[in-house]
Amino acid sequence: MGVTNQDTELLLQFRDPATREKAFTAIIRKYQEKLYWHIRRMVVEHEDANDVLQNVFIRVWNGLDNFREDSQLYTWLYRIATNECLSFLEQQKRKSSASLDEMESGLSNKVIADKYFDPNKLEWKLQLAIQQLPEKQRVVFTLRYYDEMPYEEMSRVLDTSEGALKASYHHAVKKIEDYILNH
Amino acid sequence: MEEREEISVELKALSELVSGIGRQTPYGAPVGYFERFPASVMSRIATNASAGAGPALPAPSSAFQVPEGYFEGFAARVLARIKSGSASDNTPPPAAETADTELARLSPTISRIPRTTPYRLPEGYFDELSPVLAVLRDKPAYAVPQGYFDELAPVLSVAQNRTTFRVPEGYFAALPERILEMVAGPDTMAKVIPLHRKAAKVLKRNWWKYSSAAAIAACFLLIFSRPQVGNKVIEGNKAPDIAMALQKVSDQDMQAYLDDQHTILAEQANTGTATLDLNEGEVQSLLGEVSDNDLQQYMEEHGKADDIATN
Repeated sequence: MGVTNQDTELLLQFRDPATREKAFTAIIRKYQEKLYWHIRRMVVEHEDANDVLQNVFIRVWNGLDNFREDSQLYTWLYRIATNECLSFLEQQKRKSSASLDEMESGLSNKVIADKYFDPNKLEWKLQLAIQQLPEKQRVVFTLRYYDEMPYEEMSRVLDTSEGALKASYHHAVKKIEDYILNH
Repeated sequence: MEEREEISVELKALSELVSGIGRQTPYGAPVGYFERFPASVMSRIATNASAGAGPALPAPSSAFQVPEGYFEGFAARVLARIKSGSASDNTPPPAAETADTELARLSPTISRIPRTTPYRLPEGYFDELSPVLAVLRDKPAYAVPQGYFDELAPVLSVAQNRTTFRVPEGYFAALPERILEMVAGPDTMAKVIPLHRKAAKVLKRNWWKYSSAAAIAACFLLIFSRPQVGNKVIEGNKAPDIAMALQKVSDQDMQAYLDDQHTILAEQANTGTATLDLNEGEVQSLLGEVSDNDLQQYMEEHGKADDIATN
C-alpha cells in the first residue's frame, strides 16, 4: 500500500524548494493531531507531548527527502512518533535512575496530576490502567484502541509480526480489565 | 469502516467491560495549540535546533496549556529564520561557535533574554553578613590574620559561654548536702571487691607448698641441664644412653653422687649467684675496660674470693 494521492502531492511540493515550506506546513497540519494524541497517551503530560511532537516533525523534515513511497506516509510518521516516544521515556528513566515500576507509577502520578483528572470517570481509570502496561503493550493497545490501526499497518509501524501484536493486544486488554475491576 | 467494526467486535470478545468505555481521550490540549503547532515546528527547524535529538523549545510557562497569544507573531519569526538559516541537521555546528550563537541555536527564546542578573543586594550586605569576607577582601593571601578565627565564627565564641545541657533548678545548691547524706549512711560505703580474691587466698594458704615444689623443680633443671656429668660430654640426642648407664650404677654410688650434688646446690643457693663457665680470655674481654687497680680495690672491699662469681 503506497501513499495516498494527497500525500503524493504534498511530497512533490516538499521536493520543490519553492513550495517546500508550504508543503511541510500542510503535512504538519494534516497529521499533527493524530500524532499528538498518540504521543500524549504515551507520555501523559502536554509539555512532554509537545517536545516529542516537535522532535518528530523535525526528524520528518530531515528525513522526508529519503522517504520511500512504498508505505503510507502516516505509517512512517507513526513509526517515527512511536520511536521518539520510547526514546523519550527511556531518557526519563535514565535521568531519574528509576526502575520500570517507579516509571509506571510516575506516569500514573502524571495522570492524576492532570487538571482535568476525575477519578470517578471510567475514561480516567482507563488511562491509569494503560499506564500500568509494559511500554510495548501500551503502544499496541493505544494504536489499536484509539487509532483503530489494522494489525497489518501496526506491524509496519512497530516492526513486529501481526501474531505477536494480537497477543500483545490481548494481554493488554486483559490487564486493563483486571485493573479496572480491582481499583 | 469495516476495520472499525472488526476492532469493536474483537474488543467486545476480549472484554465487554473495556469495550463499553468511551474512546474519547480525556486529556485536554491547550486552546489553539494545533493551530500554532506548525509555526513552532518551523521555528525550530529554522533555528537549526533540530539535529535529531536537539533540545525542545522551552515549555510553556503555565502547566498544561499554552498561554493565550504565546504564538502570536511566531509565524513571521519562523519564516524569517527559515530564510536566514539552513535547517539541515547534516550540517555540523561550526567548531568555534560562540556562547551567543550556541544559545541562539539551542533556544532562541532564552537567547533574547538580557543576561544581567535581575537580583539586587542591599548596600554593604556582604560586610554586614560576614566579617570574614571583609577580611578576605582586604587580605586575599593565604596568611591568617591575627584573631582571624575569633572573627570567623562569632557564633562559636557566643556558644562557648553557653551551656548546651541543662540541670534541674537548684541542683548544684543541693548537691553537697545530698553527697553528705550518702556518705553518712551505713550502706553507702563502697566495697572493694578483688577481682582475683579466690586465687589470692589459695596462694596465701599454700605458699610453702608452692615454694617447695619450685625448689625441687629447680634442682632437677640444674641436674639435667648441666652440659657435663662426670667429665663426660652429653650430646643432645643421647638421653636413652643416660638411662642405660644409670641402670648400671649401684644404689650406693647414686646416693653418694646425690649427696655431693646436694652439697654443691646448697652452696650455690647460699651464695645466691649463678655459676658461669668462663675461660681466661672471656674474662679478660669482659673486664677489658676495668683497670687492675680497680679490680684490686674491689677484691679488697669484698674480702673473699667466694663473693665473686667468676673464676
